Amino acid sequence: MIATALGQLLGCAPGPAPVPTPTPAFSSEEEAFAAAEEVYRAYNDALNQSRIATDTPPNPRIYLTGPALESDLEATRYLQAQGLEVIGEGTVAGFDGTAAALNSGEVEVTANVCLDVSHTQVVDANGGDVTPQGRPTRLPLNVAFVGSGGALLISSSNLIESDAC
Amino acid sequence: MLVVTLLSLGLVLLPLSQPATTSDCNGQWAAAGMCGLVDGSSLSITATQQQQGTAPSTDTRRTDGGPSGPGTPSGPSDEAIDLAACMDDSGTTRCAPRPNRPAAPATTPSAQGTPAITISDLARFAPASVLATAEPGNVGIAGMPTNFTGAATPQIQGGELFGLPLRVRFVPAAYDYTYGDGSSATLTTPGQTWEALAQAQFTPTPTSHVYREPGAYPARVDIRYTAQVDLGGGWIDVPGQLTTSGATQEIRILEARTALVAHTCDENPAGVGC
Repeated sequence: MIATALGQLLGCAPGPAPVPTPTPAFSSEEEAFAAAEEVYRAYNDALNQSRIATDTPPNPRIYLTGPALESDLEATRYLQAQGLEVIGEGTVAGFDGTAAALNSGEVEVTANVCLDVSHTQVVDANGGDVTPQGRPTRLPLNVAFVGSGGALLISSSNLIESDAC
Repeated sequence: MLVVTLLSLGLVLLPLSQPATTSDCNGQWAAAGMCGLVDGSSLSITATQQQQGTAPSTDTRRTDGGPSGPGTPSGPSDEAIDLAACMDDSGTTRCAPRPNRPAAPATTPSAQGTPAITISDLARFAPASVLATAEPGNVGIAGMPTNFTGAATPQIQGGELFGLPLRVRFVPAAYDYTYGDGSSATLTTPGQTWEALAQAQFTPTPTSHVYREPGAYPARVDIRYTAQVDLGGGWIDVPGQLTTSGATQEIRILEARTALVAHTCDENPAGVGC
């Protein structure tokens, strides 16, 4: 009698079979925001690194998908066609997660990012500085991430025109 | 969006602007000043290329519907181009008329001649120092090669010197190792891991050093770079070398002892080495 009660307490007694529940990729919004920030900073680092001539430059595009990837390809093509090159480093000056949809299959995270490009320059094929005078150097961006499982990719990046950071 | 091209005497001018309706912006567009035409300021990159008689093939920063074909030799005036660059899709001009821009700034540095730049002027652009690291885990064995893996890569940095924009290229020329046991070496080879060299551990490499006695040694690698500068007219060698001093890294050297034992540690837990 006591043994039976103990068995039930310890969960050894036969009971209803457990129903499998889908495991969410992130257990909380905070976790998803932290993962998204890590991805964005890794992308920014890779982008900066890729501007330095090395034998094996990292490929920042591995962090991109969808419109963000297309935009990056378009920017690269444009700069190459113009004989222009971006040098220097961009900095992630701020990252604030704004929304996270943590469905079991697909995760969507959006965040406001403050990108500081004041330490970048545009140079032409002759090495001359053609950085546009008066370009904005701190840009508030709305960045969207998508992912399945634990991996997030940057899917779009848009300027928040009415804002400053 | 309008992208107006002007062909005159083979000179191609491309005033390009980001339309207000598209806010797509990434690190590359941002650096190029192609994001954020927000409050009436007009931004454009004017790339000047000598392309005899050919229209640019990929001048398509958002040419959704706008005329982007080749211009005619008697193209629009500079003012018209400026205004067109400020116009959004509905035809509203978003920036105030202003006087014609001066010529592209790219030509100003070379026009003033090349100032004499010495290696010491470039000190503030120097690459970050490299920590002397030895494998495995900054630990070695006395009497056997300890492999140092410090390596630096060529680096290009942009900056300003004497008020002129310039690029500086640093190429590692030599590695000055101070091993901390009284010996030092100047090597021209960057360090590589045993794995990268496809060698067994504790075998000699171009950057290995043998410590004779066990102990803790403060090791350091200073890297000497040669430098070149580009003020807009191509790379120019700067005489001399710039040295970045590395931070001190403690390398622990252990003693390897061998002993013949008669039993396993299970059989004799008090035995040598158990």
